[in-house]
Amino acid sequence: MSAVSKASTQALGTEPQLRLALPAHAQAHDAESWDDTVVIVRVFNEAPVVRRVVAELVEAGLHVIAVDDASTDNSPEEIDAAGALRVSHPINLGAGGALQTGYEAALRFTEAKYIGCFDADGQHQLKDLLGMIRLIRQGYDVVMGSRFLDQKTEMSPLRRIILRMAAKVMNRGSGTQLTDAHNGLRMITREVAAGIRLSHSGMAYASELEEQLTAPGRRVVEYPVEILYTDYSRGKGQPLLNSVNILADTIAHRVSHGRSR
Amino acid sequence: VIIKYLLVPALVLAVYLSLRSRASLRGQARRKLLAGLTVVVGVVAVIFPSTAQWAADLVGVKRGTDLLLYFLALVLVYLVGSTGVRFREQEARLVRLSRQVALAEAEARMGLGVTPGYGPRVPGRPVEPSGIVAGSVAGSAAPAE
Repeated sequence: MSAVSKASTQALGTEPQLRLALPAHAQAHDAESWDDTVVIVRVFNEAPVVRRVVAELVEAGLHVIAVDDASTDNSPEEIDAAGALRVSHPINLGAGGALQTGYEAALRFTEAKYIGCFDADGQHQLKDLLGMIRLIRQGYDVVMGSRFLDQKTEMSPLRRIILRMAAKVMNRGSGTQLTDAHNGLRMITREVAAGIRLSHSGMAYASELEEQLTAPGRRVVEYPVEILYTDYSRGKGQPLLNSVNILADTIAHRVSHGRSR
Repeated sequence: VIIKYLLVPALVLAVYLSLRSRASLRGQARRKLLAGLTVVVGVVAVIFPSTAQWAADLVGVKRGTDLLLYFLALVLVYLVGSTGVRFREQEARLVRLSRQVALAEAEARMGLGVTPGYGPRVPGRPVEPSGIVAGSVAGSAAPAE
């Protein structure tokens, strides 16, 4: 393949066009620096909690890119106040669209070696994220969070069964065996992020993303994470129905994309 | 009956063609031909009502109106398919456009320095070992001083 056509297919590349400046207070953390990592937070109408979630990441010394998915509340102001770089969609693009924007923003504005994802509703924990950074530094390409590697996460038995079933469907015919489906905590390298193309903009993106992340030749590892189903996150979504969606999406993706890689 | 051997392949063909008719010139030409054909067939069927019956007898269908119905169903299938494809293409374009708008707007704010802690790239400024450029934090809270 010629260099010209390669450049045109990879319009963004991995070279940043603008760079994130170092937040001044991050320099205080000489114990362990997280400068090599940028965290993407997708925000859609999370004004009550997003400030606390993002501020916690920023105070830990992490660079945060918050993708505001055309929120109709005052989430954008909360993000700015928390000290993250805000990227605001003019119209709602859904979770997959926001994630793709986040990856492209990370590639364009930072030189971070590792790119993580974190939920804005407070169900993920900082210590899990930091653990995943330590793990990916050991030379992995992809670190996936999993609720099922230990028993810490509390969920109803029915929900557990449905999610395990989705993971089984997802694993069929794939090289990497994952124990969890649709876990929002992920950590990937810059090179992996540069190759991600999400065409589904809605919730169905997750199967597509997982397929691209666990492509053959990638060193993929799982990391045990604890998901906190807070009153806030419970109030927003219905965990059980959502896991049914996840299962249906995964099956639909399998059917439409075939079982063999 | 002849109609069976005509309808089944026509149905498959209509689905197949509609799903791969991109915004290409060939797809556009195909739609125009189809529209023209529909007009001609319609006009002929109105002026000479017996032609529908004649065509129906030719392919082994009882009534001319039934043949017309089959024909309409095929057209509908094709139109639904190609409209859906076009809709999805349009949506993908819209996603790319709004993503670029979002990134450009963020870049503009960074360039103006209105994002505390994040600033424009300064040419010639040494890159930190981590690869992230320090600087342009004027005005932001700096408790680590």
